[in-house]
Amino acid sequence: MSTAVEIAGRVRSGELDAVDVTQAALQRIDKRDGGIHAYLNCDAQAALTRAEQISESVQNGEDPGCLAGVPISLKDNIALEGETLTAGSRILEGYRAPYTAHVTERLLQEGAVLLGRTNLDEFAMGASTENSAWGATHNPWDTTRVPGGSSGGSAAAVAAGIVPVALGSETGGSIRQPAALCGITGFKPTYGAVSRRGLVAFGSSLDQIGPLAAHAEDAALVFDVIAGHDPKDATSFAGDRAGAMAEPATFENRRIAIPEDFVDDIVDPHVLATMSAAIAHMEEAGAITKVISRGRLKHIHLSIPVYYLIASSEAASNLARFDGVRYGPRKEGDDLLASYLATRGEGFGAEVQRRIMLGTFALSAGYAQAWYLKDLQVRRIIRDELTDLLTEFDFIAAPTSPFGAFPLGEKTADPYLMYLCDLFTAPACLAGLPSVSVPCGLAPRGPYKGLPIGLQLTGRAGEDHRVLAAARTFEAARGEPERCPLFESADA
Amino acid sequence: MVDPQVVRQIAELARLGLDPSKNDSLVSDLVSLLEHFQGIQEVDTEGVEPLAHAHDLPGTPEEDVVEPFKNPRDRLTPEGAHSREGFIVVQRILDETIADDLQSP
Amino acid sequence: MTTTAFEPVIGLEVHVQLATSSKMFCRCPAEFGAPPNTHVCPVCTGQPGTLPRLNGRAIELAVRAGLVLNCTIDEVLKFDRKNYFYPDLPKGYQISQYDRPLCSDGSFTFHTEDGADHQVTIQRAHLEEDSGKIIHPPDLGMSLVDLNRAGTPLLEIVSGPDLRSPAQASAYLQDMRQALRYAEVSECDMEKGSFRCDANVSLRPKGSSEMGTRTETKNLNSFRFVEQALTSEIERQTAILEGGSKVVQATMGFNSDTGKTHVQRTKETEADYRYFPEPDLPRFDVTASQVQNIRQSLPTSPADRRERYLQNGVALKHAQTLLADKHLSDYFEGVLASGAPPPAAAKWVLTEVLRLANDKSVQVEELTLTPKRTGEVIEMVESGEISLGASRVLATALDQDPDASPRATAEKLDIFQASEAEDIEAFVCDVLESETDVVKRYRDGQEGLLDALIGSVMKCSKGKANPHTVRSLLIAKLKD
Ligand SMILES: [Mg+2]
Ligand SMILES: [Zn+2]
Repeated sequence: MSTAVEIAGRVRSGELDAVDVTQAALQRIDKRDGGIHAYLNCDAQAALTRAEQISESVQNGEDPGCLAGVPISLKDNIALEGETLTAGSRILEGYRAPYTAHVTERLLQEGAVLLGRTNLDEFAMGASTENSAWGATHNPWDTTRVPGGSSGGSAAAVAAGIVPVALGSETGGSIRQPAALCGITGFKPTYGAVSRRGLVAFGSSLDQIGPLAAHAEDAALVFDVIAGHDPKDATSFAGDRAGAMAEPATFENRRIAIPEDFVDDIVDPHVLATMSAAIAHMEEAGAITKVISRGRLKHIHLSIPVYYLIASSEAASNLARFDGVRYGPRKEGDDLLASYLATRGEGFGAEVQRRIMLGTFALSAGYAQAWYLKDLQVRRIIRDELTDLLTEFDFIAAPTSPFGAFPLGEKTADPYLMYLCDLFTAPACLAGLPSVSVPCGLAPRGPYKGLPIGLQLTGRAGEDHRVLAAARTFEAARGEPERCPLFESADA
Repeated sequence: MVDPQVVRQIAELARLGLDPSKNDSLVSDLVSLLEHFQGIQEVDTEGVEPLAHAHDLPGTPEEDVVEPFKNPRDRLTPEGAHSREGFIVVQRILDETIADDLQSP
Repeated sequence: MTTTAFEPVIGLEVHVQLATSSKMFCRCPAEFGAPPNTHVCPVCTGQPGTLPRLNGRAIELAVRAGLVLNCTIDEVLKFDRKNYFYPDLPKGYQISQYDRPLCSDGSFTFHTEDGADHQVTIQRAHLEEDSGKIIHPPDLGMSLVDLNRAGTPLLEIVSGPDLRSPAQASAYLQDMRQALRYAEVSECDMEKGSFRCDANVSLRPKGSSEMGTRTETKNLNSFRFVEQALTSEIERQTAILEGGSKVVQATMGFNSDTGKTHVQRTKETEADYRYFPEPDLPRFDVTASQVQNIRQSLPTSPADRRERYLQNGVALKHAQTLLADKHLSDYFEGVLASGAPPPAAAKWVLTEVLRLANDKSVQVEELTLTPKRTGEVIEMVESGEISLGASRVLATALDQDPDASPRATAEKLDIFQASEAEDIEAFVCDVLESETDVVKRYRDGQEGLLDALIGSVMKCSKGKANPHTVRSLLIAKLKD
């Protein structure tokens, strides 16, 4: 399949018709999605109508923008006016968004064709996309395994070659981890680089929207479109839009830290071996790498508790609005209190309820000091350790995930085991740093043999363009990433 | 620290009507998670300012200019039985003081 | 109230709706009285994915109020979430301020009816959003929610427990309302709910400095109700304590028909609001220069005006009446600026200006007769150039014509009093010659007839003679 950059270029020049591009993508959904369930729905007619508009504007000599005719799928927690928005939850069954997210507006302004809504863990809470109320998504590399999560639908759609790029969202690893498990590029921007307006909130101080793409260059292209100040999101940065495409792709004189603190006993040794090989590619391309001995990031191992308690606390509050009063299915009870209890008790799935309980507990009288406030303090310590290391280095390299794509059901019984998936991704979220996962090869042996492994590079706050340039450089140095058979199939 | 009683209180505070048959597993999940999370209690955080936002930049307030939203009732209030003469209908609140936290600011 | 061994300790929480055009976190109109759920948008109805957009005017008005209340203004505006469920609270939390109120450590001076000064500490004043409204129609088996009010900006002003009687509480509220209206912070209209009060009260033995167990009576929406509720609550607590029992901490209801409070619910445990920093809003800086600019733009407070009026000889009653209405007081300020003497100006404004406004059914500031021209008219009266009666005619004429100058109009109306001694002397001589009989009787000792002679001279001059001059001339002539 062509890259987004190629598609847009050829649609803009009139070589390629946006309608044909969309038709082909729709056919791929038909043919390939049955086995993976990456999509919750797809309004084919709306996509074709949109593609016709793009096609017409090209014929009229207008430039539809830098994403002209590129089919892009949205995670089903990003709003588009008039369309369904379930966030993977029964509590939003039948709900239609009354407004459009900032990122969606930006994609449309640049000529993208929105194609389908992708599956996710309910309210983006999960690392396997098994927590969706609408059924799990399967990994296109091996449909008995998970695609990671929570942006598992977006990752699987891209890995299966259905669309060149999709949007996901991340709170503790939900873009990078599924990207790693599906063998594609996933980028989590600096907190505040991309507007959150229109993203169903999970952990507001952590949430960011970002691209998942088959090629690093496409991730940069889409980031440049969605990033930038949105005056209607008070936490978004003021200033100019980023220039990730314009940034020179080079590792010359780039200093890369490889902290031993990121290597935990739970990490699969073959994941580490794959990563070491990847580091050699960077060195060959001119990067200066240095192993940082254990102790420099002394508190990084606490990222899991800190992340889960903060995200759950914020989630408990963010999810209070789902009460069935104004929208969503309402369950009646004997009185108003009973109606609330039933609506929320039946509307939310088990993992969401667990996190609401955890967060409510962490904030409640008598416990908030020891849990919530303590977390915020340790969060600062973790952030300071990371930013301090980044004063000496351009990037911090680590495995994206301790595990490769694991079998469906393997971690559903033990919440903590599932939470460990975020071990290496949560730190950048806590610190608000930009971080990318790039495919760095297939595990040679072990439980994830033949499955993709991700390498993550984390940069300084606000240097999203440099992190994305590093991803492009890495891909150029290592060559086209390995693809799953579905990606290469000649059905469309 | 977390026992069935605390779980019941938290569930009510969070307005979650939990399936009683799953109460025990929820209690044990929470107990186990908090045990795993115990590590943060050992960190010396004396004098450390809590970090509530991922960045330290100040916000910019907006001008006080009205921007009306079109057809708000059609787009934002429920349909059918949950709507009446433009109001949103809820179950009759007989006692305005059902619980401690059921009150206006 | 009967005298008891107990002293009431009262503190008030006031919710003031700030006079912005749009809501606090979205740009929906903040206006009162629209049909239900027409002033709403995705943000204020708590749709998924929406974010708060802070209204800068709300900060400005809160700072204005903070300065009026002599508070310290924090250099950082920080918001927190207060979590609780209720159908009028769309997000399931209220954006409020918890540990860093924008305004703190203030004080406010108010006056009781006897003219005495009292000072109350202002513990804090913080910004928060209002909830929607729920109504419970009596014959309907359901409750109805209107979210038009949801998200309108409020300032919650918390006083110290410094008030000692229901009358003081009421006077505090009235002066606070007046001060906030002067500063144009809020309309403070109790009927529209833009000024609402919760009252905390406890009793303690007279002379003690300990605090007793307090109760809170919520949502009192008139000054009279505040006084009634406090009086009733003090009586109730007194009876309990005199009976040897203990007051239980509780939230009280107030029945405006009976004027009595009743226990609504006892607070065994504090509600658990799970406050935490609002992650959707970063800090907002409030700089010293912003505060300074706001300070400079504040009009003088009613308390300062009152003091100045009294110092300049305005009667207490007149000062109070003028200050009760900001428009009237502003008008009066304009009159004073023209140099008119304050006591006379107060009197003239309260009679003649109010009469004009009443006749036309308009506000004083809508009169064609400007404060400046009013000042000139008053000065003409004071210098004896025109009589009080003539000034009324002149004012009416001036109110017809925005361009007419008071002096030229007085001339045209021919109402200047003759005050030149020679002119008046001629009238006096005329009268003395024609009224020989009266003159004779006066000279025979009927001194009371002097007034009759003055009247004749005035009549002769068609009212233009200055009566004082007439009197002294007559006395002099009659001695001859
Ligand atoms: Mg309040
Ligand atoms: Zn609104």
